[in-house]
Amino acid sequence: MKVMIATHGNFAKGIQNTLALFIGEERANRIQTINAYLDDSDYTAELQAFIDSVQSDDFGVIFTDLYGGSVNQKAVLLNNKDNVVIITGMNLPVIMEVVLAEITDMDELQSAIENARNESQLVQLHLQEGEQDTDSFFG
Amino acid sequence: MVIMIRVDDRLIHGQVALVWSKELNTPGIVVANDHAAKTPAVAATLKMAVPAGKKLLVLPVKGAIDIFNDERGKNMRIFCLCRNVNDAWELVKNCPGQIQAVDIANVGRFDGIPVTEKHEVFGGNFLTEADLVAARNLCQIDGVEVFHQIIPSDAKQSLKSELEKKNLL
Repeated sequence: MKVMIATHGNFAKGIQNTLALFIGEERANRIQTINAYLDDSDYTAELQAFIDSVQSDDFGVIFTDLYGGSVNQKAVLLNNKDNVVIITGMNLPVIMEVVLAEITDMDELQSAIENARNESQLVQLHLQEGEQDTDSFFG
Repeated sequence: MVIMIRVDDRLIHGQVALVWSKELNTPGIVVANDHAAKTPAVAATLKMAVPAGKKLLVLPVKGAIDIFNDERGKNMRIFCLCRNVNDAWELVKNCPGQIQAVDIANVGRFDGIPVTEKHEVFGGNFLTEADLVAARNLCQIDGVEVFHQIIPSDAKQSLKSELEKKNLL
């Protein structure tokens, strides 16, 4: 499985740095990143190179930051392979779940996206008074 | 049956819990930690990390020992989290035959004791003298695999070999 994270600015590199805390430096550094628009360089060549590098028996995932952003638009236009998917509106939870479990199945990818979507919430702490309910743990 | 005890100074957290409980096929997760068990706010924040469909108990170490030796606990596949090597040893010592493996994943980073007073193992993990005694004890138990493994696709690194390599055995 090959993974790329492509974003405006340093988001990609930043999230790669954070990922390393969870999955280790080595695995995090295997993820390719594009930090677009920091300079005038043409990042579409790197997008194309990544897509080209995914062999027919392999699977590629490109994470992008914004659905309507130009990075995502360019990735979508360049992607001509069934075995390369683009997940946009990326967040740390979805990248972690996909990378940690090495998900290549489409249904499982949808599930991971759904889980990550549900992670965004107003946090309310539910304090449990008293003893833990061991019966419902075993039941 | 405790399929694995993971020793992690962050206890249970998000996607790591998800990946491991999926990998080990454990419907039950037990956090064995005295402080977490007696602090409702901490227990509540730990519950945030439980993957959907899994059940969680946050217990003091003694309470976890009772659960693991309970008939119902013996028949359930359980993934246990504890914070330090000594707690893992207490669990293994007091639940004979109920624990299959111990993964020393992340230890000794956030307990406030200076790193200079500890022994480093597996790059970035730090054992106090007490941890070391517990680690040696763990290595001597038959039938319990003891290793370092961050995520399932990493190779397991044996604790005994690491201690031997560092002349700590």
